[in-house]
Formats: sequence, structure tokens, C-alpha cells
Amino acid sequence: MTQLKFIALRLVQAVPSILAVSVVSFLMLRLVPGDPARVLAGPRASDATIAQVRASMGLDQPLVTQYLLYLGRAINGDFGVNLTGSSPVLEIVGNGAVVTGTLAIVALIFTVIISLTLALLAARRPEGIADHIARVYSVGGLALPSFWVALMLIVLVALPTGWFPVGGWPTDFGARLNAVFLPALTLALSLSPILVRSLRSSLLEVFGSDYVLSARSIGVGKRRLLWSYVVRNALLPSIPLVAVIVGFLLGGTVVVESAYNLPGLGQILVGAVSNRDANVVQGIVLTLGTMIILVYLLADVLLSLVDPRARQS
Amino acid sequence: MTGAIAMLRLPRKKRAVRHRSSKLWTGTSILAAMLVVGVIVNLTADPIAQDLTQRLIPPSLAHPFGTDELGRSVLIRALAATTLDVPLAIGAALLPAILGTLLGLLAGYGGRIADTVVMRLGDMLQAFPSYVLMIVVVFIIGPGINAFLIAIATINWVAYARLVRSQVLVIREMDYVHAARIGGLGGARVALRHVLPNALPQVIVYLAADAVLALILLSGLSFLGLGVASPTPEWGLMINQGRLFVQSAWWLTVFPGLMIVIAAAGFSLISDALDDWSRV
Repeated sequence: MTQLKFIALRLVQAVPSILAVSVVSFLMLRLVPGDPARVLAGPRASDATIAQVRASMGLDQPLVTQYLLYLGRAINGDFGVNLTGSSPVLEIVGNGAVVTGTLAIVALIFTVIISLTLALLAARRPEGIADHIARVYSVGGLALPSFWVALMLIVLVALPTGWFPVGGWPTDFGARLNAVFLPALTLALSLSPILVRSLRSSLLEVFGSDYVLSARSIGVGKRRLLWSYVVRNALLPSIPLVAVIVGFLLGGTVVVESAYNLPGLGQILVGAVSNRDANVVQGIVLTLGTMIILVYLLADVLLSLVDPRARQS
Repeated sequence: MTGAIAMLRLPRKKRAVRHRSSKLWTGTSILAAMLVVGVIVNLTADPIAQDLTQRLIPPSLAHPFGTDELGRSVLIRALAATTLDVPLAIGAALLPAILGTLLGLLAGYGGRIADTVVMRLGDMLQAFPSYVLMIVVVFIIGPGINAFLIAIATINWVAYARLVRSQVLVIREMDYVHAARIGGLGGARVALRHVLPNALPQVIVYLAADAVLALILLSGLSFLGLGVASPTPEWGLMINQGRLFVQSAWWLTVFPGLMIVIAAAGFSLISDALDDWSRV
């Protein structure tokens, strides 16, 4: 199968998943006990507003028609307005997605750096000191709740040094990177334990393989051997895992953003649930679900680019 | 080459066995000790008793973990919370495991339609991160422990269903299962009595790892203010209420956090030991 054909096929396969996500985000509001028009209009809406919402959203139509109407509006970027009617949901979600996206990308970079360093040190000498540290880290790291780590980093690092802002979203790009530094580190600390273990075992496997032995025997330099032979091959089995980690990561942002008071999708979602702001909750669920499907897709395509064997399955 | 590696590994395995059982022991003892202390504290002290004259006192002999903004002892609350958090984490790991195992049996053993429906449903749910699905459930039925349990059952069954299904597909073709079928046993009986017991060890390994995640998710949800409601002592909720005083009264957040870490480490040790054991 050619590369282009593979990518096209994956894109087509993603469509039903995205539709499924839209069904979940649609049904979500219908599952709330009571009148969906009342849910959408908010807890303090008047009867007139509720009637108006019911008519304008087509809530008196059959469920399938309602869903198609919802899908049509979503495709046109119309997710309604928030409860107070002050801003469109699309704008709220867009602003939040910038924060969460920046945080997720920086966190992913940190996760890969931490995991790769630790795994390399561990795999260099199995059963050595570094290996034991990596092992304790990969078991113990999962036991650290990220919201607690966040608070500890605020108290022990951010407040005494004053290097990092606690909360808010600056306009300047450099200041933004500074604002996501500690949150990204927190996320990386909770995600890298998963990656360390798999990287360590794939590194060991590659270290012991025949092609590394033969590369060494024909005199390939140490540095080149490590980066172009060992690391490259050892990373391959971890790429699908990275996609799973991004899923965890986007979920983890919910808690970490709340702890650091960052105005990302997660914090907005928590606030919207507390205020029972149905349109915002729906918009964010749809956005996050779609984002994750796209990440899985991207990981599949990336893997097929670096490893043509992946196209076979 | 592989032979040489295998020889090198041989003595290490023996050491690993002792290591493994000690990990299992340590993990179980930590959790058992915490639960026993938690039960005793709940019987002898009142974790929600307020004393407004004793507000925000730093750790001292009278109050080893200090007191909170309502003059409640943080030590008593942190210890009492064990009897809520640890059993809930175990329950929240068990619930999806049972559901997922049954659905996995159905998918692997119940024909093509059942298989497709179960597996597609799983794929669909996997597109959402667990915190997000959990918050959706909270939005639907309101905050609390019920929302947490329903959410975790909705999310976590998928992994078990996949695991059990893939094992069923293998085990189903084994001679002893064919023999049971030929001997005239019905499909359900073969599935439950002959296929299920052979798929269980892997399920148990997953279960211990999920208890760690369940504990973190439960306390995380309470930290967001969407889980356990005040004044019930719960670690995540204690941290949430203490974060307002994080600069002036560090003991409100540090100690409940350490309790989560210790309990989660207990579950982690058990899960790691079981994981080693399943690989041998």
C-alpha cells in the first residue's frame, strides 16, 4: 500500500469515530433527567426563554432530526452561546484550546525528554543503580496525584523563587511558555513513568540485537550507533503508546489547569459543569474527543512514515 | 546469542521471586495497616468535630498534623479518610473489571453481532479521556460518589473486555473446551466454567493497576469539587479545601497528599508484583 493511500484510508476511518464522538456529546444532554430545553437554557431560565430555546433548537422534533440539526450547526461552527449569553461557545472553546494545546505540546516534549533520558541511563546497565531508580520511578510515579504535585511545586518552587506566574494567561509568547512550564512539568512527571518502562525494555531489546552488534563490528561510532541505530529503533514501539499518553495528557490537563489556575479547556469544563452551562460542556466534550481522535490518526500516520511495516496491518 | 542471554538471566530470576513476594507483602501490609488504623480512628474519634478556638494550628504534640480552618484535627481526618478512599478505590477497580469481563466473554463467545457491538462501543468510549467522561457523568447525574462509580464503570470496562475477548478467542479453540462442548455442556456454562477461569489471571493484574488509577481519579474528582461532598473526610477534598491556605498553612495539603501517595504506592507494589508474576 502506498503512503498516500494509507493516509487516505486512515482519514476515512476517522470519520465514523468523530461522528461517534458527536453522538456522545449530543446524547449527553438528553441523558440529563428533565426537559432538555430547561437543561440548555440553564437552571435560572424563565419559562419564556425555555420555550424559545425549545423552538429554536428544534427540541420538539424527533431525536434523529435533533441530532442532525445539532451536527449541522456544529459543522458550521455554531455551538450556541454560554449561559450568560456574553460570548459564543466557539470563541470560549477556541481560547481554551490555545492554552490547553500549548500546555499539552510542552508537556509532551518534557515527557519524552525525561523518559528517554531515564530509560537510556537504565538500559545502559541493567540491574545497575540507574535501572533501580528508573524502576522505582516507573512504579512510584504513578502513585503521585498530579494535583497534589502541582500544589507542592507552587509552594516549593513558584512562590519562593517568583520565577513563574501562578494562574492567568499572558499575551506574550515567552511569558506563555513560562506560564505553562510548571504545569507541563507536573503532567510530564505523571506521564513519563508509563513511557520509561516501555522505552527501557525496547532499548534493551535493540541493544542486544544482531544489527547493533554488526554495526558495532564494522566500526560505527558510539554516538552515531546510539542515535541512528538504537534510539531510532527503540522509539518505534513507543509511538502508539505516545498517542495513548496524549489521551491521558488531555485528560490530565483538567486537573492540572485547575490546580495552576490556567484558563484552558479543562478549567473551563470544570467551571461549566459547576454552573450547569450545557452548551459550553457540550462544545468542550466534542472538541476534546475530536482532538484525541486526530492525535491517534497522526500517530498512525507518523508511525507509517518512519516504519513502512506499520502500513501492512 | 539468545541462549547466552537466557543463561545470564537464570540466576536473576530466582532473586526476582523473593523480591516479588516481598513487594506483594509490603503493599498488602501498608494497605491493611492503614485500614485498621482508619477503622480504629473512626470508632474512637470524630473526624468532623469542629473546635473554632483551635483554628489553623501548625503541627504540634496535641495535633501532630495541625488543625484546619474549622479547628478539626488534620491527623484524625486524614486517617479516617482511609476507610472511604481505599475501599472505594478497590470497588471502583472491581466494578469495571466484572462488567468488562462479562462483556469480553460475550464478545468473544456470543457471535459476531455481539462482538461488533461491544467492541465498537468500546472504541467510541476510548476516544474520551477518563477525567472528561467522568465530568460528563457528573454533569448528567450530579456530583458525588455515585457519579464517580458510574463513570469509572463506563470508562474502564473497555480494557478488560478487550483482554478477555482476545483470550477467549484463543482458549475457545483449545481441546478441553471442544471436549466440554462435545460432552454436551451449554455455551454459557462452558464460557463461565471453562473459559473464564483461564482468562482471570490477567484480569487480576489489570485490577491492581486500576486500583491505583481509581484512587487518583477519586481524589482528583473531589479536588475539583465534583466528588465527595464536605464535611466527609476525603483526601482529595481535604487538599481542595486546604489550597486556599497553601501559603500560610502547608499542613492542610501536605499530609492528605502523603496519605494518597502511601496508599497508591501500596496498590502499585501489589500491581507490580502481580505483573512480574504474570510474565514469568
